[in-house]
Amino acid sequence: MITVTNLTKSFGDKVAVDDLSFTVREGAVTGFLGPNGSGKSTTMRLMLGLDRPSSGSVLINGKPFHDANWPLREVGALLEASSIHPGRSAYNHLRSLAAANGIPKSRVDEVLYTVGLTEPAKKLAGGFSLGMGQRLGIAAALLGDPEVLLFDEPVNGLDPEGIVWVRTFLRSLAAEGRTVFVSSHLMAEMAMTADYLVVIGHGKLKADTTVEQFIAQYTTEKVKVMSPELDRLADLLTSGGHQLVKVDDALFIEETPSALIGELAAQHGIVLHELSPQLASLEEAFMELTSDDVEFHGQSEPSK
Amino acid sequence: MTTLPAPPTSKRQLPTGHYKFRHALGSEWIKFRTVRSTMWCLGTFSLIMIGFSALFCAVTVSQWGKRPEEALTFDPVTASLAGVTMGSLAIGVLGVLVVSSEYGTGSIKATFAAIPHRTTVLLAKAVVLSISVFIVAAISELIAFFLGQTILRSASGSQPIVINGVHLPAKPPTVTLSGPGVMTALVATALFLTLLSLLTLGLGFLIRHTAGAISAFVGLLFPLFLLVVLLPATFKDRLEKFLPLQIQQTVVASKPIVSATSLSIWAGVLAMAVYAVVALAIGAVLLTRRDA
Ligand SMILES: Nc1ncnc2c1ncn2[C@@H]1O[C@H](COP(=O)(O)OP(=O)(O)O)[C@@H](O)[C@H]1O
Ligand SMILES: [Mg+2]
Repeated sequence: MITVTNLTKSFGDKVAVDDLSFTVREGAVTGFLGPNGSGKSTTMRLMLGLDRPSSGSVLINGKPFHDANWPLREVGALLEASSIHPGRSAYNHLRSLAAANGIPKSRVDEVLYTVGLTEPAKKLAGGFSLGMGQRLGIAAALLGDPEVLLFDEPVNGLDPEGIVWVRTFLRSLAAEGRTVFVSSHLMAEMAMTADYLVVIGHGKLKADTTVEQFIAQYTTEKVKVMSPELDRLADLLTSGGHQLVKVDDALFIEETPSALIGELAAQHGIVLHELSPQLASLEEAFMELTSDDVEFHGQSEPSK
Repeated sequence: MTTLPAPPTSKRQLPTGHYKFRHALGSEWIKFRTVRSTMWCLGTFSLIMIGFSALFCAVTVSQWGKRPEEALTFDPVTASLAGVTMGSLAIGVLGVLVVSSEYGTGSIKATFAAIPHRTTVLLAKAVVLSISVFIVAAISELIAFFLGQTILRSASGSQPIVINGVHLPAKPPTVTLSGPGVMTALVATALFLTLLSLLTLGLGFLIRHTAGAISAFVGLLFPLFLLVVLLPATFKDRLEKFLPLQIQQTVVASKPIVSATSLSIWAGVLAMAVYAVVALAIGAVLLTRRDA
C-alpha cells in the first residue's frame, strides 16, 4: 500500500504537485491519470525519494522509501525516459542493479525471459528501440520480485501487441496481491487496465474512485437520430421536455431511452434513418474534468 | 456461514537485515567495468604514461650534451614518468565520467532506486575508482620507469662535458627501483593520480554535466595555474605551490627541489587529499539536498 499525504512539490514558482492525498491499494491496479505536464512523473519520483517534496509525505507499506531495507525487493519502478546507460548491455545493467540489493544473478535471466529480451540482452542498451527500452525498464522493476510496483507510462512506444501484453501483465501482478500503480495520459487505456483511478490536473487531485464509478459518474448516454424530418422530430422531443443537440444532419438526445424515441416517431409517422444509443466517450469526460488544467491550450482557444 | 476466500497475498519473506555497503560496492564495480569509457580513459592513461615517458627518455638520450644546462638538473625518475602531466587528464576525465554519465543518461535514478542512501553510492564510487586508478597508475608507472631507465642506459655517451668547472656525466644518469627517492616518487605519483580522480569525482557530483565538469577540471589544472603565475610575486610564491599542476611536478621527482615556493612530496600529497575530501564533502552535501 502507498499512502500519499498532502504531497506538494514546486520547481521555483511552478507548482508541479499540489497538495495531493490518496492511497494506492494492494491487490489492484490503480491508474494514475492526467494530461501531459499534470505532475504524474514528478509524483512518482517523489514516491521513490528521487525528488525532495516541498511538503507532505509518501509512505510505502508504512515507511518512507528511503528507509527500505531492500529497496528493489520492496518497490520496483519503471521510470519515465528509460534510466539506462546506452553504453552498457541490458544484461549488465540488470546485473549491477541486482548486485546492489543482493539479488542472485539467476533472477536477471528470469526477468529478461519474462519481458522477452533474452536474445538482445548482451547488446548495448543504446541500440534498443523505444519498446525494447520499456521492456528493459519493466524487467528492472520486476528484478526484486517486489510487492509494490510503479510504472510511469509503461505503454509509451510499445506496439499494439506490446500494449496488450503490458495490460495483461499488470493485471496478473495485481491478481497476485501486489500494489500496482501505473500512470497514463490516456483515459481509454486506463479504463481497460485499472480497477481504481486517481485523476490529477495541474498537480491537483480531480478524482479518486473506481473505474466503474468514474464511468457511471462522468458519462451520459445519448441517442443519435437521423431522419428526413429532423426538425419536426426535434420540436416534438423538446416540447416533451427532452434535452437534445443538433449536429449536422443528426439529433443527439440525452437521457432518453431509444425505444421511447422510436415509438414517438412511429406515432407521428416520422421516418427514421438511424436510431442508435451512444456512449459519450470516457476520453471526453476526462478532458472535461481536467480541461481547466491543460498546460498548453490549443490555438482555437480564444486568448484571455 | 461461508467465508470469502482470502485475497491472494504477495507477502514474501525478505532476507533479514538490510542492504550493506558491500552491495553498493559490488554494483558500482559492475557498472565501472561494463562501460567502454572506463577502458578508454584507463587505456589512454597507460598509453600516454608509458609511450610519452619512453619518448621523452629517447629524446633525452639523443640530445644529451647538447643542452648542458638541462643536464645539470636532470632527474632520471622524472624523465621516465614524463607522461604523467598529460596522463592525468585522462584520469581526471574518468573521475568526472563515473558520475556525470549517470546523470546524463538518467541511470542515476535507477541507482538511487536501488540504493536510496546517496552517500553510500558516493562512497562506493570513490572506493571503486580510487582502487582501480591506484592499481592502473602503479602498474603503468612501473612499466614506464623500467622502460625509461632501459632507454636512458642505452645512451652511447658523449664527450665529457664541463661547464663552469662542473663535470657532467657523459651519459644520462640512471637509477634502480631501490635508488634513493625512487619508490617514494612512484608511490607519491600513484597517490597523486588517485586523489586527482577523487577530486574530479567530487566535481562530477557537484556539476553533474559531463562537459561542465570536465571544463571545471581542466580549468582547475591549467587556467588557474596561469592566473596564479600572473599574480604579484609575493602572492604567486605563496599560492603557486598549492596548485595541482605544481604538486604533480614535485611528486614525480626523486630529488625534489626544496624551496619556499614548492611543497615537499608528502605535503603535496596531503594538499591533494584535502582537495579531494573537500570536493567529495561538498558533492555529498549537495547530493543529499538536490533532486536526483
Ligand atoms: N526537474 C524539473 N524542473 C522544473 N520543472 C519540472 C521538473 N520536472 C517537472 N517539471 C514541471 O512540472 C510539471 C509536471 O511535470 P511531470 O511530472 O513531468 O508531468 P507528467 O508526467 O504528468 O507529464 C511540468 O510543468 C514540468 O514542466
Ligand atoms: Mg510524465
